[in-house]
Amino acid sequence: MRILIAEDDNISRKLLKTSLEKRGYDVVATKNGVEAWNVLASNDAPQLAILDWMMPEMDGVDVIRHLRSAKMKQYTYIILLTAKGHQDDIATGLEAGADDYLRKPFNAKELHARVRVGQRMIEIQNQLEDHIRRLKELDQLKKDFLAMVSHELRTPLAVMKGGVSLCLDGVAGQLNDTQADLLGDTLENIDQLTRLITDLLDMSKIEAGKIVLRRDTMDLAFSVRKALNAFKYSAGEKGITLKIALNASSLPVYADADKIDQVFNNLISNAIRYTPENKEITLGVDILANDYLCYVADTGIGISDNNLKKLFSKFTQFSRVDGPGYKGTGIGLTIARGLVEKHGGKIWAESKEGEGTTFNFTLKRRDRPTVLIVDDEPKMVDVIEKVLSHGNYHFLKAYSGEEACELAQSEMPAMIVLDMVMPGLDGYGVIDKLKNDVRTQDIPVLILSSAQIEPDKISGENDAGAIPIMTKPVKPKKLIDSVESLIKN
Amino acid sequence: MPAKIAIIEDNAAFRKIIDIRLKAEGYDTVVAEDGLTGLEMVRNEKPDLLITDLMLPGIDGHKISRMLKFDQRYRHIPIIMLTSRDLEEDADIAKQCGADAFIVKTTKARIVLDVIEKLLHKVTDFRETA
Ligand SMILES: Nc1ncnc2c1ncn2[C@@H]1O[C@H](COP(=O)(O)OP(=O)(O)OP(=O)(O)O)[C@@H](O)[C@H]1O
Ligand SMILES: [Mg+2]
Repeated sequence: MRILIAEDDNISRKLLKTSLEKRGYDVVATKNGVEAWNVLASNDAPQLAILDWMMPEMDGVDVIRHLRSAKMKQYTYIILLTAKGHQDDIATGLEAGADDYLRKPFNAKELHARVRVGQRMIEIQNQLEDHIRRLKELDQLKKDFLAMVSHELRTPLAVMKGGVSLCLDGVAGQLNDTQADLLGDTLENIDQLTRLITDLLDMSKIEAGKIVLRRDTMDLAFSVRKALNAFKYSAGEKGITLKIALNASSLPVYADADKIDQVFNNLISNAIRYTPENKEITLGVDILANDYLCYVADTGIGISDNNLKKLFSKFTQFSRVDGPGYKGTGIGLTIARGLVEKHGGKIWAESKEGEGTTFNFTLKRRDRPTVLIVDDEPKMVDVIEKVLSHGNYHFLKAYSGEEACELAQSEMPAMIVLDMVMPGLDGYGVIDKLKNDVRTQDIPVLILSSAQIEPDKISGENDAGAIPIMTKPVKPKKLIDSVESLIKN
Repeated sequence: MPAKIAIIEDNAAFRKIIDIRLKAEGYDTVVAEDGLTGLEMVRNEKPDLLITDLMLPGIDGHKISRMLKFDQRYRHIPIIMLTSRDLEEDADIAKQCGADAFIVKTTKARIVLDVIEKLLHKVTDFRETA
């Protein structure tokens, strides 16, 4: 194994070097902090370093601080050499990021013991990294596979569906009853398979954070009425009555209408499937202070408390019910949850076994896109709000990076205007946090800063350069235009 | 006179299905199995509407659409883009390159026929007001 040593004192350095080399280590010896830093910052840096604290210019702790704040690909295990003996000093070194320390003058036995501890840690670290890398590869493989499969399966399905439909429509000649019946069943099964593939693809998209919402001002009341009409027939076949409970004729909300329809569809098809004949199901929306509470309440078999907890995980199914109709795969609710959360809402179920289940989900009661303004300077927040107030937006304000992340995660704004220089979690940290969360990773961000921006420090492997940057003082017209185009993307 | 619809689709079975379906509905059809031939066909036949697959060997559906929509002589021809994927990005790209509709191949025939009717009439309306 290769070990880096940094020691300005010639005698100590030689001692360290020969002692380590005697044990078979490959030693890279440096005379000061700058040299050590150059080695550590290189592509093929040793994984273990022994740094003297007291060195001219850049001392050992400086090197450690530098190293820990830079985003290195590999972790370097660092043993700090110190002649100082105060407890306080050791604490400072460890806080700065040293893993271990060794007091001068040291004896060879202790040196080797400490190096071996480091070696063990490095081995564990390497194993972990290996596992993580393999898991990531597998995950990617799974996603690629799903996307590929769903594409390759659709073409033959389209051919089958087209051919069978042509026959059923009599285009290829008159069919007798048995033929029509058999082809009818075939078509139904082709549709099931198609739906299953669409669901699988949707789920893989949700897991990868790839669901793109096309939000606009829509009418929730209209969605509910549309859902009722869509399911009237299949409910009627089971003798189930579908009821609507709406408090207003129109309920404007800023959301993706197709995705909201999909949520209702998944919940209602479940309700029908798990409700016995001749009972009823109610679809409704309650108006709360800040949210719409949408619900689908059935009078069916219910779900036990134990199962309620696992309900929204993928491929969970508690009761395969017999009888006609499409048998599910247990991903309907996983998709519903993904879609609701992407909108900044919550979804949950309440149930009593034998009496029925109510699925609830919330949507923010806003009919306009939300802009989150982040700046530690309250005055600046007000100025930005004022500039943007002519646009049709709803505003949320955060005065620190921490607050910004919390609001972004709970409210899912349509875009964020972000200051970079803030005490505590700064703009870079905010971007880093948001881009590493699949739910928030594609909320557009507009950087608004008076300081020089360091593009290298902006995280997001894909396209860091894609984050637009504006410098203060900003021209109102430019800000308004950017915000608008980012929301419309 | 029945409307003439051009079809560009590389999957032979699916091409046959669209062709039979459209003929059964009383349309005239012309077909091609790759982008280059398809583009030539559109230029020669001047159809009232084009249905093209998105993924084609050679010139793909996006390029066909863009080339026709940038050409004065053909930009009035409505284009329906077919895909076996349903990736949302596809719909965006289809729109950007000027396609008038974007349809997943497993969509019900009735719905596709409705879209065709609508697009054919929109063009007529457009011509009348122009
Ligand atoms: N309204 C309900 N009443 C009782 N049990 C339910 C209800 N909705 C869901 N469940 C239970 O939760 C499980 C998961 O539901 P989910 O919608 O995710 O999958 P599914 O309906 O089985 O299949 P699909 O993927 O087609 O939706 C169901 O299999 C069922 O056991
Ligand atoms: Mg379901």
